[in-house]
Amino acid sequence: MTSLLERSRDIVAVVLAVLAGTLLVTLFGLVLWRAIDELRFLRRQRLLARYRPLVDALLPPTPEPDAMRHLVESSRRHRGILADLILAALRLTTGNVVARLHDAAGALGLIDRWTTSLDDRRWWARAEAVRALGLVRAQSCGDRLLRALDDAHEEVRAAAVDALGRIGDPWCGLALLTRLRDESRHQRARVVEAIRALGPPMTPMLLTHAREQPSDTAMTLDILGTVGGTAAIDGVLEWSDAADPAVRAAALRAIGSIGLDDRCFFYALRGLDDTDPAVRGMAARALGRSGRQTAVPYLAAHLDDEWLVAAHSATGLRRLGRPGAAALETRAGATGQGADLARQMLWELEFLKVGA
Amino acid sequence: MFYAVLLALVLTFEGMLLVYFLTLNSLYLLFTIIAFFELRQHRRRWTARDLDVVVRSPATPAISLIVPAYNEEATIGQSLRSLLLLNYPEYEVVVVNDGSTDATLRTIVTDFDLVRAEVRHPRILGTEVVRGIYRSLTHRELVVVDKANGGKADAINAGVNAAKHPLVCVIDADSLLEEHALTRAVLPFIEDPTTIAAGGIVRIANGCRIQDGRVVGVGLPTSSLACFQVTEYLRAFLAGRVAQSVLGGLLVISGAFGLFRRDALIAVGGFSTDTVGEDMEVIVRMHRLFRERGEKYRIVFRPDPVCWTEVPERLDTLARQRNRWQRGTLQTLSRHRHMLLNPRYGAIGMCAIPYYLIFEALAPIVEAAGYLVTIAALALGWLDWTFAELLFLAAVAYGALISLAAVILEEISFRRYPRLLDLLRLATYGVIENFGYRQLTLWWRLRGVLDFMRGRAEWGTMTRRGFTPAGTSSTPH
Repeated sequence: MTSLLERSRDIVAVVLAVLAGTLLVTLFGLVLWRAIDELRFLRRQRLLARYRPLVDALLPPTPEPDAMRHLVESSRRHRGILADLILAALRLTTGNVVARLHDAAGALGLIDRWTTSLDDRRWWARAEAVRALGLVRAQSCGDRLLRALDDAHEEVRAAAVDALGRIGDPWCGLALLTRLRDESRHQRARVVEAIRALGPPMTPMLLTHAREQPSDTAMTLDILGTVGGTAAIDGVLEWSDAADPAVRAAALRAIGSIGLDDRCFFYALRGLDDTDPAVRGMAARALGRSGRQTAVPYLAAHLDDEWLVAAHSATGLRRLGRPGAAALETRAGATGQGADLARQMLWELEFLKVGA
Repeated sequence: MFYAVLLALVLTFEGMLLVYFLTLNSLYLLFTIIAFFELRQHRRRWTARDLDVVVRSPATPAISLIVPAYNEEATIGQSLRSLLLLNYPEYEVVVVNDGSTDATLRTIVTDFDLVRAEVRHPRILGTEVVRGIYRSLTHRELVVVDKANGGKADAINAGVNAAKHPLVCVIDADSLLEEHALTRAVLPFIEDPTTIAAGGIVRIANGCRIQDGRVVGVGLPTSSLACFQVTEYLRAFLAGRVAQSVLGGLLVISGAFGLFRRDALIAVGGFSTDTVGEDMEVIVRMHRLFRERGEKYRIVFRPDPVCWTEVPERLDTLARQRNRWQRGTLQTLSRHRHMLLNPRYGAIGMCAIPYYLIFEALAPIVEAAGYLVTIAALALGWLDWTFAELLFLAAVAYGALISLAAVILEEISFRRYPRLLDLLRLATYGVIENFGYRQLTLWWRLRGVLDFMRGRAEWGTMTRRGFTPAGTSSTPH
């Protein structure tokens, strides 16, 4: 019995020793791999610390005269580090500094390197190159960046949208507008963000696009609502009588976001009588955001309309101060949808008061 | 005579105990080897470009994300913001406020511009009273169902009723999904239309850097208790679940992150409200129903759709959780006991359920009895040290090597912990968890067994810290 136990123990011990040996050797290999990675990281940190002053010297309004020369004379082996430093600086700066960093990247041969990488078979290399060219505002590479909008990989396409948004030239805006119908929801969202980032100068282009591409009108009006400013109001109101209710609703949503002047207020009141609930809903939203207490009775009259209209009317009343709250209190005692909504809004007002 | 019989019994028990531990750990070693090959194959099969195609395809099925929430005011806002930013072509988020007594509903209503709407969906699965539906004026894909308290399973069923898409994804309100988690989780349904449920990996968010409801930096927790759980989760999910899925014997899809075909969930009657292990119970019921109907079906686990969750860092909270997991396993196996060794249920009845019964449900009893009898036998001189050494090797040393293997599997396949120190710490915790932590969980599970026998049915509370920036059996559910 004892010898059997001893033999069993020895067998189990040998098997476990082999298993432990295998695992420990594998673990040692993995640790070694990681250690090499960490050493690479430390070396990179050292190089970054060494070259950072050279790039920082380009950032003041009047840079040191020799700053560019020192940069160009740096070791060719460390151009990757310089590229990272220049790109990091570009993420934080605007104006003349961008032009200076663009020149530095050109002098170091980085723009050529990034342009070559646009044909790399590795998607991440292409995406990095596109991002870099966007950050450096490489207008000369515009055609290549436009082609990147059709790259096979989503990351590269996303980077191209971001890059074109940063370059910000009128041709970039036009290129981005053509991508508003991209199949990917996220790519569309990025395009919209890029156009928004271009800001009010995009207004005329957006209005032209909305006129020329009827299928994009509603979406373009939405964007105008966020970037347009008061200069867009005249254009947007063109669509308040459009045949398509989605477009009418988008127009009212846009003027609601931009802000209502007297004329828009009238259009919004008229929208409350529209046959389509989405349009009435957006009209109620616009009136609620107008801050005009004269809108209170009109909104109160729609608390029993279809849910979307009633919900926007109720939230509108909540925003319209004491008269809005009074209208809600009047309804809160009753039953039905309007009363439910009124009670919720009063509950929220109470909560906001406590929070304040 | 009596002495001789007792001695024979003790020796027989010790022999069986030895076989038990050798089998258990060898099975886990086998799982780890299977998982290693499966993970390699999986990574080759689905490249980033394929995922891109799924995201862009109009044929990708839409998903309703169901988020049961009970007193989650600390984390609900952040969780929802992260869910509304997922990269998936079409989905809705259905939050079910399960009669919270804190400001959960109020937080969602004010943060997400919600307005009360009419309840229009049919009540297919029976639930507690739905008090109202709220829709968002700014996020069209967000719906909130406000209902009377009925427990997590009841809340999920209410969410299934309100869901409008063919797939429903159930996640915990305090969990964070990675941006591509849904895209990866839906792949089994695209690969094979007979898939009725798919689970993703649950990783531990303690110690990670979280920004705007997203994990932006992965790191190990500072708490030792949480670190032990990291190695446990890696072993259970990366080795256990992957291999069980390959072998067609998956019995659990974590309640923190599971994707189901809505019609299949309705066909089995939804989640059971009278068990504390509803996530395991519903999967076993699905196996049972589809086998009985003779319908072809598939329930799988995928290791790359990642859901991050907070785990307990306090002993009392962890004890309650493990107690509940143990009771849940026992309740499920007891309820479906006629499936045990029943050839009608194929690999599930013949292998998976016996495995869960012997190595999960009964493990605390066997292991605790083993420790006690061995100590007593040694003290009485009935057992020699050679046997004790053998038992130690089979139970503890072998177990430590299995944990180490799971850590290596993670490092080879996903390498989510970026620092060298993290790898070394994980390996260390993997080994030392067998000396103390394992015995502690054994005690909690043993109490779970006793509570099950006493018929205790409540959940117990789990205190959340909430995600801050910068911030069961042995098998996690």
